[in-house]
Amino acid sequence: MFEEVDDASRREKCFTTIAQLPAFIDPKQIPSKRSPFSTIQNHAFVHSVEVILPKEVYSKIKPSLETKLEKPRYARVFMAPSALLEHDFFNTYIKSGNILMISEGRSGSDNVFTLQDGILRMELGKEIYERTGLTGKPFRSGGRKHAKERFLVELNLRLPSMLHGKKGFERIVWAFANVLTQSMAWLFHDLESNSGLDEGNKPINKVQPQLITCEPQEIDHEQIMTPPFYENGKVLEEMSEGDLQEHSGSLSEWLAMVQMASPRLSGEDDVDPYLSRYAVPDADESQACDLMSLKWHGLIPSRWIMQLFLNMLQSTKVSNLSWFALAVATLGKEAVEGRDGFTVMVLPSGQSSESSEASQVNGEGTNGPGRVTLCWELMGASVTEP
Amino acid sequence: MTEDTHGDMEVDTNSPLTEPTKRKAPEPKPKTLHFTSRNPPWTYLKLKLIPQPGSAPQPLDPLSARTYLSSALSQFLGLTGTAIPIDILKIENESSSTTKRDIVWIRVPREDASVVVSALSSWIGGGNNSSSSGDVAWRVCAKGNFLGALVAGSGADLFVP
Repeated sequence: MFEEVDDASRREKCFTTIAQLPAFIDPKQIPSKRSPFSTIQNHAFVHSVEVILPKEVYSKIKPSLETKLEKPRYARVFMAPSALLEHDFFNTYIKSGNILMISEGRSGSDNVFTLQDGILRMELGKEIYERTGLTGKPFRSGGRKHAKERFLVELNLRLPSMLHGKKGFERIVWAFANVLTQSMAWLFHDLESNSGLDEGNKPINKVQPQLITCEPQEIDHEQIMTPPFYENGKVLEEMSEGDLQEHSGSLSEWLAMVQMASPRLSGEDDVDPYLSRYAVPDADESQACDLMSLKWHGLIPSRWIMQLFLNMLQSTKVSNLSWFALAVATLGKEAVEGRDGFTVMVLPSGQSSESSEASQVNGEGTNGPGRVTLCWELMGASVTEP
Repeated sequence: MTEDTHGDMEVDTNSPLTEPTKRKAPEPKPKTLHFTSRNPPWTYLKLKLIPQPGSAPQPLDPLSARTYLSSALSQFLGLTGTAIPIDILKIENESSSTTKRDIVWIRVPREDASVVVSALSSWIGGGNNSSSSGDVAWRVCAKGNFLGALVAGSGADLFVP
């Protein structure tokens, strides 16, 4: 009605990939360049992971998930950036170890720090940036165009030149001692040892960390109108591009509706069309089904999400007809065109049996059928409150 | 369960037909489809109802939410405003003894989203009209064209001890 689309809305995108999984996946050699594995690996900082699946499937695979998956652990610390460069911390975690760290703050307005693979990224306001004396590049903040208001400094702390006493390094030390002095909340995850946080002699324990273990939260969704995926998968290949986009869009909307536990999905919902005209995709063929959500909330590394995904693939492939979805939301997203996260949906294998030549042995359950996955990668939404 | 067995049978009967020889052929490169959506039909909003001090602590229900929304839209745009279709996806009432939080999730046609946001954020309801509302206001907590990007929030709560 009003063609007045704002700038932020125009920048929002959803990248959809429909791909067939390989028939067999070796956990030691993940096809990391293929969707959805590449997507999982490309999201380093994650605050929420949710798995959605039929309840009867969950009850079958629950024991194996619980035994095979270690619970993700992380720590919340309150420290100044200079603590990163303390000898012990620096040598243990950055030079020889591998950690994931992210600071509080909103991209676009606050100073935000992330540390990943030894690379420290600092997003700073112009005034602070100039005072640090470090070299960076202008960074989009979503504010005025062409005005360089925010800057990104990227420092690879693993370079051989990054050592106490070297000139370039001393400049960073100086900036942390004189300009970026403010203490802030950080989340910390040690990629080398998930459980090693407890050991008293670790350098992280000098900054009084608050150790947190992510416990999954189980959420029941009873009698959810569920579209017929079995039929859909077959149909996907024959759809025109426009239909496919629309179909995949409404499927991702449906999954998000499950995540937010919307009453519109309940088989018993009789809301007046004046209040809502939402309809489940393929409503006339949908069936009410009990679903289950498993939700982890915390700093969760992509490696753990990959393990979860592989585990889910492994444990659901015996019952060929089960589907599941994995929804992941990123932490500390950038102000402009920041990545929001992604959703992967693995369709039941039944529909792909004709097209997949490798699925001939799937009756045995020894070889994974080449199931079809849909992957939605989202960017650019604006979320101002937790 | 009945669906399961049905599906299994279909797999079993089909595979021998399409796969008569037991060849271990090199796995065919699975075809992959990519597309980018920029203009989906809807925009989703997560709204918070801000009650003014002293208003009745009554949990929000869909009908009064719709009334508040319509009132904001008609104040901003007149009759045209009330014609914007709004779907209420969910209402969350969280109330403890001290605080009350009413969250409403809605979706509107994407082209109307920016005017809806303007209308809602400039509105202060109640006061003169007779509906039992008292003074209330809307705050936009999240806005996006893909619902999946909004449901999990920003994660900023993790930093708070």
